[in-house]
Amino acid sequence: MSIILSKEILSRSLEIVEKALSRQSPLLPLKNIHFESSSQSITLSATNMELQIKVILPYEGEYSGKALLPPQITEIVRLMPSTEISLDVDPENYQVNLTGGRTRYNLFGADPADFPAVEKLAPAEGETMSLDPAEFSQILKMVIFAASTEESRPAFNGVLFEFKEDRLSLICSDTYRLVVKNVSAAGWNFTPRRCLVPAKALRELLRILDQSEDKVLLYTDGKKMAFDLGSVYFAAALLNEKYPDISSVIPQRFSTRISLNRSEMEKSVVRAALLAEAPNYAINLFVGRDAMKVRVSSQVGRMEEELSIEGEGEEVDLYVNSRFIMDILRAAPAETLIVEFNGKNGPIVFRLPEDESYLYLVLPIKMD
Amino acid sequence: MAAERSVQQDILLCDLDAFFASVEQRDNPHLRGLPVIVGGSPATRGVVSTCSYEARRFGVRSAMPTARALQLCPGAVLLPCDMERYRRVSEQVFAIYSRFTPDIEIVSIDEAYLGLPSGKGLAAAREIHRMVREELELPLTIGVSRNKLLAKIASEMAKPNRVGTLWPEDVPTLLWPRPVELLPGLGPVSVQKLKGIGIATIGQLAATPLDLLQKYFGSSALLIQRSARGIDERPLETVHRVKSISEEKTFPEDLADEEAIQAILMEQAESLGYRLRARGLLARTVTLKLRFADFSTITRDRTLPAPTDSDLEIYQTARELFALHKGRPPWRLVGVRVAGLGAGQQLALFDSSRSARKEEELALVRDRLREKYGDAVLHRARSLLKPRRKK
Repeated sequence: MSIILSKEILSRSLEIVEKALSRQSPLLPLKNIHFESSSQSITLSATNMELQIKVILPYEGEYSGKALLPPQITEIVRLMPSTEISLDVDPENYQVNLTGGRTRYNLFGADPADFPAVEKLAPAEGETMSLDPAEFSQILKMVIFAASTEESRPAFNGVLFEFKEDRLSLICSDTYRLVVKNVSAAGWNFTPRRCLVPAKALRELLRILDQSEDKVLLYTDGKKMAFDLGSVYFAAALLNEKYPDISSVIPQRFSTRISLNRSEMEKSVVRAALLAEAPNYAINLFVGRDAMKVRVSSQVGRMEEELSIEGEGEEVDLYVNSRFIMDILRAAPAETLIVEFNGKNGPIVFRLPEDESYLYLVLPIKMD
Repeated sequence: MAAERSVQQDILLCDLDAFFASVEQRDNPHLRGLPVIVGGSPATRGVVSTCSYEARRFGVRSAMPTARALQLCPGAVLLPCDMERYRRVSEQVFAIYSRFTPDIEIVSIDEAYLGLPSGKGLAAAREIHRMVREELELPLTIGVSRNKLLAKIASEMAKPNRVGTLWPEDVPTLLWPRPVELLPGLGPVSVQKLKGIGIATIGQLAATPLDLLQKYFGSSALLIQRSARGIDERPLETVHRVKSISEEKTFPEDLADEEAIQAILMEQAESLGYRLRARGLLARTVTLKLRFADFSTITRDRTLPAPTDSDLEIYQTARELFALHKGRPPWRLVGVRVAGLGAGQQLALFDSSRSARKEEELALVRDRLREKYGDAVLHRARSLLKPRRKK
């Protein structure tokens, strides 16, 4: 007997699941999508050991069966000419028949017996955090850009989820800059622990979050971090790397403190960055009491412009990677930003006004 | 490192032959064998930047007005200067040099001095010559000796596309019979003066008493005599050592033309900019040096708003300094120096990572020194504190 499914729903589900495929793997189960049908639901799952994704579609029917579907299935479904698709699996030889309109596919599926089961973690009582998907997406975007894309030091390819009793701190750094974002809510009571989640997995998660309206449940068993959106279960293997202690690098004082308009500064830095050159993409900031000069000088030419700010403390004249500044200006969810300086070679700290839960720290470029 | 200077080194002067023209002929096979001139258009009173050996046969020379060059060699192919491309090729050549030694003094886009362990110079030169020919298909002349002066003369004598030596012990037989014009640094005026007192060969110059030379050449007499004897103790200006970079030029005759001075400043700024970029350095200050007809000399410097490696910014600063301090013409010498050199360094968090990176850099330097001098050369200072066992 066949299952009839909406092409749109099946297609979207496959696109989510295939993010966990490992297409280059020599192991068949890691490059195929696991399909299973029961009397209440259809589940699609994939795993590449780093990532597990499972999509559960409610479905009422009598048919049950399972098979491994080849990775082409996503494209096949997407290109089907009809709005409904009929699908049936032969339990004897795992062949899968797909029909839509006047198109028929007969796919040679594989035995699902070797597929590493994607089992949901079972969180302990009170160890689950529930977040609004839009809010969680916003938080991740404020943090994840600081992760390193170089692979020489794997710890910096991750976002550290540091659970404390009443809050979660998200920490991300590529050693040139550092982001800290604290999330808290009443009723949380965690066992303190540190989990390093690969930024790559979180980037995939972000795409799913942006399409979801269900609450996200977040929990961990110390080896994996699970993000449970109800119909989508997403689990990432934690990086087994030491993360350095960040408390010593966040300055407790500053020598200059200013407040500035985020979008004006962004436009100015974008203009300056047109002339900034590799490898440091340096621009010069000269911070006075009521104005900040943004300057750049390179092979291409020179540029200078002045921004109005409100400042206190010493004048400071420093160099910084324009890309690092652009990142925070684009990610910060506020129109006014507080920036603290600590001399020309000390850390620069960006903060949101009246919000102590977030900071972005960037180190300057030393020019002498 | 003071000890470094006392280490006997072989010095190579590597000079790419007719560099810009060679690159053009390499990349455009139909130009091979033809007289090629790279330079400015005669319409804009351009000058020859480089010309191929085929063009040189017609009497075409670098720095000659292009219009004149085309009169001498009407069949020449004139090409505009594609500096970007030449720079890229130059970097490839310098990358080959750096396989052999970390001690490289970049003189210009097509010229560099290399320091190699004593006794290894000639073999390295032959290998470099072969690699540049096979990998990059470019003609290269290498002069090999034990100091910069003799290496330079050796390359002049070997040109084009060959490896030549001029060892100090060969100076009496090979160098002394040659005319004084061959000595680098002797301009036409000096050569005339020497001929006027009956000195035509380098050997005669080497044998001339110093006090006689001093009458004619003043304070440069000693330098001239030492050159004639093949003595030169200038160290290599390698990347590690350099604190400032300068260019200066003494005119054959005093110059009163401000525009000509500006043109020279531009040339000097371009060369400085290139040398900065080749070393990955930025300069903070620009200094102008000016000598007047009465030999009085001034230097004036300016700190830039931002460190730079830009030809144009160096030029503009030098020109402004010149406009402010030019005094009364004519001028005898003009020079530009850039200092306050640094290579913008992105600071990093977490001590462990910073020291890890230092450690990596140190390892790289160590490797290169080991390749060069063998295992015994380098120890951490700490390892010297250990008591040594006597045999």
